[in-house]
Amino acid sequence: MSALSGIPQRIAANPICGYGNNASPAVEPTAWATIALTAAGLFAPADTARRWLLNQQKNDGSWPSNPHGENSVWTTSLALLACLNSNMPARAAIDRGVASLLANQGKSRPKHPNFGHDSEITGWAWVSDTSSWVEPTALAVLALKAAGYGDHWRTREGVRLLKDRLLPDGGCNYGNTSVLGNVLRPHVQPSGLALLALAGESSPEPTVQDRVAKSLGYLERSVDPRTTVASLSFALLGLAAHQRRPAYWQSALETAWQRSNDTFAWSAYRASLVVVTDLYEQIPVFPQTISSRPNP
Amino acid sequence: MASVPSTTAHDDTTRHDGPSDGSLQCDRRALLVGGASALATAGLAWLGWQSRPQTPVFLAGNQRYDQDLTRTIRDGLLATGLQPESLQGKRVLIKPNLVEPLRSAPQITTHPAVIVAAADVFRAWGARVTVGEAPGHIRDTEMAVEESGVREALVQEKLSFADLNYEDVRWVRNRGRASKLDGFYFPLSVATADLIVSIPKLKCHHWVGMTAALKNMYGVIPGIVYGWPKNVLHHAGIPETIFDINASLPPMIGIVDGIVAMEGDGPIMGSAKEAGLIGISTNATALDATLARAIGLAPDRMNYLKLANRRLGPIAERSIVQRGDTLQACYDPFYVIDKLHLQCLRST
Repeated sequence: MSALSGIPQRIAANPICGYGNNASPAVEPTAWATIALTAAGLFAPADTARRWLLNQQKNDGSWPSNPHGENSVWTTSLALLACLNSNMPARAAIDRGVASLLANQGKSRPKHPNFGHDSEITGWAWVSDTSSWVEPTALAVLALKAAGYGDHWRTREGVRLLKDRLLPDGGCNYGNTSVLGNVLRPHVQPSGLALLALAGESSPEPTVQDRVAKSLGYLERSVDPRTTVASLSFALLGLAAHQRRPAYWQSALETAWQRSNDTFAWSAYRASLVVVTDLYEQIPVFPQTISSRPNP
Repeated sequence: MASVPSTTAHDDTTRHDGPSDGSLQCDRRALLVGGASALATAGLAWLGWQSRPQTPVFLAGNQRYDQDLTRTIRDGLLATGLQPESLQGKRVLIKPNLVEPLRSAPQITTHPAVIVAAADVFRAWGARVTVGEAPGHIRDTEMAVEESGVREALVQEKLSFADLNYEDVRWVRNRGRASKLDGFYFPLSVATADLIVSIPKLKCHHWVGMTAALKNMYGVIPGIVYGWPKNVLHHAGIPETIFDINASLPPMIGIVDGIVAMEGDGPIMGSAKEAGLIGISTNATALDATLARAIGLAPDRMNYLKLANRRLGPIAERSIVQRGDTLQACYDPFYVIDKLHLQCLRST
């Protein structure tokens, strides 16, 4: 029996969940739980979680990261993905969420010689009125593509930002390429998420092609027994979207999951990421199918 | 060993880049009153630095990770006024720096041996110890714990870990008011701690000059409210928010890991510096000022220390009394990258 079997059922027991054991429910873990449960065919608890998410939507169409995260931007994208990943999407809520996402943009500023990236490109911030970063931009690009807004200029600009933030030797980090002339190191989780959002994108620029290829190589090398659950999950999602998942991916995921449970308490958030990674092909909002989705 | 340059001419700075003097006078009174009240409530009145003519800072040179650091830390805490009996049953949160760990670059993060030694000392004094961190650059906290080598230490020592990026939070009023922020959301492990022990890595920092006990408190701010990095703080001003966070926290002391430290392009890309130094104080401002002097920086030129001066603790050399090794013996200037905003922080 796989070490991953039984995880969806445990998530289903409490589908409205927080990050850790006994933590207050929050949008991100519940959104991932909704996607995981739907992929696993556990539709009743998935609908319970989705209804809770719909109740958390604010009047402006956004979803807060937690009861205090009134200015958070990134969780709106995740809630949208969870709502879209359904046979009966709540269209009005989705439309309001998309409008909120399109209206919200990270602060841009003139390029500065201290920084290697193009700070004039507009993406998405974690929190309103701050700068654009890789992960919130990747999540927004994924959500907008899934909602049929792949050609919208904001989505295109987001894709441009993600390409700009790829490092010369592959991968990316939270969103800086070089600072004071020093090239920074890549991190697995944002690299995987960025590559997931960039799936299906063509790049005529040789530099970008080279960096995407090197980024996939970086992710492949990251599928290592020492890589931890969240990082490994996003690495495998990015690789799956580019048809580059290595043959041993499932055993690596099982090892990471077992080691995580040896040290840390149950986390519905980490568990949901594992299920989403394991059942990638069952998740239509991820890039494998959206290239054929018509724009509205 | 080079000699320590005197910075007396710059000490007791009152000029800074924060708000007007009038508002600071007002805030200072509120801060001192509030701080004294909090310490009294927590039974940690020994932390009050205002009543002492001089604030003690302990330095220990020639330290190694494979030696008995428990003794060094216990000696340092006792020498700087900590009263062990006051810690019985208290919640102590140990806050290392795990900002962006990499096994091949151990100069980035606090060494597990220092964390374990500090935990041993506080547990021996009857405290309930938790290790907690909210890494600023990565969302995968488990990865931070793994790559830093802290996971093995947690398991071996049966220490609990609080993931401060994802905990439930509580709003706390900004008692510093140097930035525009009205308050902070602190993780519950932070907001409910009786004592926070800042255990950072001693590093040069490419924006503010140095990161040690005070700057390490950026790592109690939860990512789920502030993002990765905690960009809300950057937009509100780095020196201002370093000061504000520290002014708003529960009682806090510092144990700084400078055994293998970082010079140059810190806090991430700098080089390892074998300094062999441990710095300890029950007052983090005095500790940071002393460490700045030890690595060749002038604390009175560093904006966040100027803000903290005489509000959170003293930075003037004459207001600090040295315990353990002398500052002279530990003086070992760090390489500072060739940028004007950093070169002007050097003491020579």
